[in-house]
Amino acid sequence: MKADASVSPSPCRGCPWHEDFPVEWEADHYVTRRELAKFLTQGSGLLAAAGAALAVMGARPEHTAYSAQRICGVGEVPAGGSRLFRYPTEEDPCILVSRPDGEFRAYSQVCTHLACAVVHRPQSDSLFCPCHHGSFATNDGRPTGGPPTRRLPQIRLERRGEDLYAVGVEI
Amino acid sequence: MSRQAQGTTMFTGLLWLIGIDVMLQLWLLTAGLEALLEHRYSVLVPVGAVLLGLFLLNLCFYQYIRRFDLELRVWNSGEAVSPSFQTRRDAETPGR
Ligand code: FES
Repeated sequence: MKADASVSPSPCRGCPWHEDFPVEWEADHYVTRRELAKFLTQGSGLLAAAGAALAVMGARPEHTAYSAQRICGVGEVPAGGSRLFRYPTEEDPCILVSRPDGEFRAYSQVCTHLACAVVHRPQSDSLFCPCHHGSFATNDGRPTGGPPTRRLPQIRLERRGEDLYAVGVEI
Repeated sequence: MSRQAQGTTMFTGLLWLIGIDVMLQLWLLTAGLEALLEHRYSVLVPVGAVLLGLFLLNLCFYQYIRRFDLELRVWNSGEAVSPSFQTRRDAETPGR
């Protein structure tokens, strides 16, 4: 950059290195800030690209067609008991809970904190995650203690005669 | 106020604005990722649009800075410039 006559002279004019680096202090500062603006704008572009990737993911149609799957017979799980199953695929562990009031609820077994498996605690009527002592309510899956902040995905249940079926997932 | 001083003030102001925009973008992206993890897909498209909008705003600021900087350097050097710029320069610095 050409040195500007209006900027104050460098205190090192005459220093041996000044010939190799003939940039005045203020001019140097000026260049640095322009570079910073450029760097910030490029960073901003990267963030926008990441945002575009997010938007593409958001615009993709969701595959929400779940098939019904029998879990067990109603009488197979006593009040206060639980049963493990997999839904909607073999890679998705879930837990069916029979609440003290006789209602059934089912949730994904994957903790929303760091994906450990939750277990049923009948004495406190909660789903407990042993990894970091997170807990979730059995009536709606919302977090009630520990690090998790998001509720457990709930499995929609349907009673067909004496059998319980999983028919969908509510995220 | 000299043109150089004007430029410095404007430069500082725009740099702050760009910085604030980038902070806002970072926050939005974090919120977008959180929404993705929570499977709230409907907010992702607006988040992407706002991120893009903020980037375009930053790009405008940066282009403005660059053009102003270039103009200032040409102004100070006295090099040949476009006729409209020449007219302005002559009007502002008649003794040049
Ligand atoms: S993984 Fe469940 S609380 Fe951390």
